[in-house]
Amino acid sequence: MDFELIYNVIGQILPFTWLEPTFMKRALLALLVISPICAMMGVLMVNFRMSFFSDAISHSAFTGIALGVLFNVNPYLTMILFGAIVGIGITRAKRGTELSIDAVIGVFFSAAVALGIAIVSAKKGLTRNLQSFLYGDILAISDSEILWFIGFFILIVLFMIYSYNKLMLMGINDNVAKVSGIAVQNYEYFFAILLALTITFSIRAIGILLVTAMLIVPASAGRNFARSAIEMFWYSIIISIFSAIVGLALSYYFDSATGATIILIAVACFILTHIAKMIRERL
Amino acid sequence: MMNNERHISIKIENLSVRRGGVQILDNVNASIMCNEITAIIGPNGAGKTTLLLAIMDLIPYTGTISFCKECSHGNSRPKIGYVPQRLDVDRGMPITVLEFLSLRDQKLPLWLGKSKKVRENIITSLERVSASHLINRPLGKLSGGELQRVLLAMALQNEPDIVLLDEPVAGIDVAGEELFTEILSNLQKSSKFTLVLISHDLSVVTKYANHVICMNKTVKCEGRTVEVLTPENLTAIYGINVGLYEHKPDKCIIEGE
Repeated sequence: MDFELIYNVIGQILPFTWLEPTFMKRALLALLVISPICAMMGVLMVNFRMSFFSDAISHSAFTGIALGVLFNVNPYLTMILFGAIVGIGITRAKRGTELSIDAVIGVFFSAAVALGIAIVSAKKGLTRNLQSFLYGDILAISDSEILWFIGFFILIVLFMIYSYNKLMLMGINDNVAKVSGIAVQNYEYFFAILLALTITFSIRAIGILLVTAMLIVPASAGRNFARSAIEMFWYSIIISIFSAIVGLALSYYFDSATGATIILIAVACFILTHIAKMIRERL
Repeated sequence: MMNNERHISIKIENLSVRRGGVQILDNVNASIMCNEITAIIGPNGAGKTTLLLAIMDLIPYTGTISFCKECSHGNSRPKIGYVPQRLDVDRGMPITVLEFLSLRDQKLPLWLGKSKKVRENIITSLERVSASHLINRPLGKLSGGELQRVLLAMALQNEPDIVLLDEPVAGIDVAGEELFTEILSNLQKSSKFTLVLISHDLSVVTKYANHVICMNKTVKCEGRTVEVLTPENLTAIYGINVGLYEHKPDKCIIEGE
């Protein structure tokens, strides 16, 4: 698929210096797709306190990559698979034991990361490509990757249309959800898999270290100012897209890592929405 | 209604639940009567909530729980409404009462807007529990009593045959408790459903329940309220010297003004 036309249009609508290079236009397109995905998944995660869960999956991506390089398999594939396994494993273990969710996630997290470090340290030469995974490498994104992003975006939107109400109810009281006929366990597993996928795609843009932030911060900023669930949903998307565009532009001028710059803008939004909420409460 | 026959709604036979090496319920046998108010009382850890969970088929158990068709409008599995003790919502969570009540019945995802028809049904549900003024209030900002009324509205949304309430008035002040139980009792009479409520509050139980089941891992006593709530039985289940003191009716309610 030829993206030339799209890039020409972007060049016409937004004739800014920072968008002149094609790789910047590509990065913009990719971010415009990935940031609303992160916002939507983030809304559910913030409401149901899943940031540690996300952290576990994102850190296990490191191990997923190591496994891929070790076995000479496409690291993206192993990253998704391993992330999904960890996510499903945690969800399953949560039901089966009497440990707190913190402890369960902590154990999986530790096992996954330790395994990754062991592999990387035993096999010399694996660390070469890791930096782009840790910090993100959106500027190197290709057109075919953008197609994958768009496909995933469609999947997430369909998921949000079909499951949002059920997931919200499950998070508020899972017994009420079950009695209403919702197959809670299936939704939990499916959500874990989609989260693993979201994290995998987002690592390309933001990097392993900050991917949880991309999920949590815009949604938290949205939550600050929202007075209803609908408001929270849309504010989070707007803030996420805004942070991505401004972060991308600023990273061009400051020559900083794009992912980190985006997160800093998102944090600034969080502070601003918090202040706005406090002002609104005083009035 | 001239029909004085009492049907059984739920028949519980030899019900046992074992979790994590602990026997929570041990050979429970009880009958919940159709369209009556049954209270389940007992000390903490008696397995009362577990009994409700077993009725809703939410935990594994041994034994049988059967539902009677006559009491469920001909369905073999009755529609159950459940009012839990608490929600996993923190104070800051932005979801309004209207949005919360739309979650079950609205096909359209919440973020695409609210269906007008669903909204009208919700307003009706809230009016029945005297909570229509709470419709746009965030869930996290409701008081204990307000939340319980909203949860009751939710449980009643699909016209259930059986309503299960888990300690509905725990943590609510006296006036809130009166209001809630009165609303509940009136709704039960007008809508005709089987009501099972777990309560620690014996004054609520004596005032509203027709039937009482006393539990402590197993059923210690069961029967009509006045017959069951004797000092002997109460001491046997609670393990301390408990009795009921009956005030003269008009001296027992504390007026707000």
